[in-house]
Amino acid sequence: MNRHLTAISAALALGLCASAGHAQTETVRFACYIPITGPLAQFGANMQHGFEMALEDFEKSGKLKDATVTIDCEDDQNRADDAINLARKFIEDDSYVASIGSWGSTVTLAAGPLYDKAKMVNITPISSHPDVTKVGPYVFRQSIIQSKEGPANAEYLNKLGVKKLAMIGLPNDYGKANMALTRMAFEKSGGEVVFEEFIRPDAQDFRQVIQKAARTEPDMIYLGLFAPQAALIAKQTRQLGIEIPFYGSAALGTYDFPRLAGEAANGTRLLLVFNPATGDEMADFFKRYEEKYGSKPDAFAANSYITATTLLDIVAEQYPDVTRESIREGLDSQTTIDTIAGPTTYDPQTREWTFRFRDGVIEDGEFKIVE
Amino acid sequence: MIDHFILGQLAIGVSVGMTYAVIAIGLTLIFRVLSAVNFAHGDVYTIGAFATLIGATTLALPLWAIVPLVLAVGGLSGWTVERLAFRPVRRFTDEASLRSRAVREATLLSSLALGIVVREALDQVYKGEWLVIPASHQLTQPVNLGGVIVSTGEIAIAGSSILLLIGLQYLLHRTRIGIAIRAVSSNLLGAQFSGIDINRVIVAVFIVASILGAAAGMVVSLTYGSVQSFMGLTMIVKGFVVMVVGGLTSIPGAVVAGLLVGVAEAAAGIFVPSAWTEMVGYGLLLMTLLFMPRGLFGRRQA
Repeated sequence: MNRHLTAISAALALGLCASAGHAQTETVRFACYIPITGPLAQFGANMQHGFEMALEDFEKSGKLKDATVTIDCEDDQNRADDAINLARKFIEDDSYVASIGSWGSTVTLAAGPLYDKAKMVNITPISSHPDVTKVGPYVFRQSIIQSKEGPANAEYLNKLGVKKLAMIGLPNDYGKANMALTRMAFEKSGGEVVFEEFIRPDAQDFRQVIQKAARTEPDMIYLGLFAPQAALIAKQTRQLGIEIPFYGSAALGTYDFPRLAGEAANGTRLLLVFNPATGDEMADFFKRYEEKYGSKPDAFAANSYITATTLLDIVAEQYPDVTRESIREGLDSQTTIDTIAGPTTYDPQTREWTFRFRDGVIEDGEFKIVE
Repeated sequence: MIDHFILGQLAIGVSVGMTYAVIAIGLTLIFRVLSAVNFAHGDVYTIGAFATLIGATTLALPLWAIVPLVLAVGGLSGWTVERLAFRPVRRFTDEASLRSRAVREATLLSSLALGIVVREALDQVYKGEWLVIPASHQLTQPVNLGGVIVSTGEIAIAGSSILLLIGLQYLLHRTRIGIAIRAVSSNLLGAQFSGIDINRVIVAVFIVASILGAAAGMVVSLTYGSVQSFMGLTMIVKGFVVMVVGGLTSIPGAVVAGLLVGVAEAAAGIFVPSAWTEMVGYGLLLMTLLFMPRGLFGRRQA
């Protein structure tokens, strides 16, 4: 009996200590769910690097002196069920003020409703499906979105004089939305889509699709894909002796595409956002990233850096009154901010951010801005 | 134009089907002896591709020197798979326990587990990245065969598959170990009574099968120019389908079924979106199981 009581009082004392410690938080903690293992581990790793650099730069800036901020990332393997389990765990843990994630739209759309219900902010730096911010007022996104990229793609395609377009895309939420919104805008502006097909992402041989697309004699082939598949398609197209030029979705604006596709990437037109060609600040980020991690960052790393920085600036402004609700208010009261990708604007109506798109081309494996 | 298009599609089907066949033969060889499926086989294929990559980049070897390297690595992985996933659960070498259900199920899981370990380890080391085979080593130059454009890699796939098949036939029919392999697979008890060392034969089968798997990984990685830790996953599934369609134990069956699945997928792609062609292989699997449970060339089992 005695021992029992001791145990209870010890537990109580511990509980008191814990809550006392909690009241005067010295660490502001963000949760984060991204793919850390599995086939998409590379993207998750790059996102984590982006967060790390943002935290370092924030610390150096001295904007927040009395507290430290952490971003604790856990693995969702880009799977909806894992993301839901993590969401439950993060929501339960009061020390987290908000959650960042995930990479894939499918995953974010699965976990988002849980965060929204629990009134905890979930912000994704990547997932670009139009429905993400429609989940609810607590689900945010700060990335290039398909509904903005689609019309921008159509505009650039028109500038290039493209009349007939063949489109090849990924059959996931990203690819479908990217293809549909680009197609809609392109057709609205008078263009014709002569071919559209979705590929199996795990396949290695895409020559069948390529030959079918080429048979429709398009002016350009649109790649609504990520670098690995786009590179295979580009290489196999040239291998088949087909010289139709490519137009890539903005997701191809990373060094992975020219690295994997080699010469076949040259001549590809695409919109550039998170690319060192777009400005000095981005070029500086790329340089520092490469020095630190030994590899070039991708759009996900840059976008994660921007989102983490946005959150950190909100924390610096609000500290010490940082709560789950205050983070939501902070995000919702944003206007135009300067980021490494140039001026970026928040629209409280649509709750979406607008990034600056630049017309680009790949020449000799390098990205260039077309004036 | 339309003829060339269709011929081009079928050429793709043949080259893809050849790869399926080589993978399926590896599975078949092992199945003939142990009645078990080696689910680590897809990862041996991946290892073959990574050995090619390391040979071409880190070791900077010319193409001709990569071939023996990959074959050696393949053989070594076969030996390792047998040691780690199959031997520990094989306590006795009599027929009843060798082909017992318990052993089959245990090895199914142990080989699957070993495959996962290999895959995740490669994934950790290479961060899940798609890695590029240097352009100098890629077999991606277009070749015009009377209007049908194929790549040098395609010809390499077809050529090497035929070579591997001839080599395998020679091994099985003309060498001591090959004859022992055939003896063990057709009559285990009889083979044992004639003094054949069963364990040695099993190791040999794993080495031969894995050399085939690694060689396929090499040729495919050179043809497509990229390598990734998960590339074996689709292959093992396809190889398994082809093995079942071909009749589980028949090498000619595996070849015919491999070509059948490859060409059927390509042919279907002419009419339906290519994302749907995945169904074709599984459709064939289902039809085989329903209407021809012994497969195309399956032998009657007691």
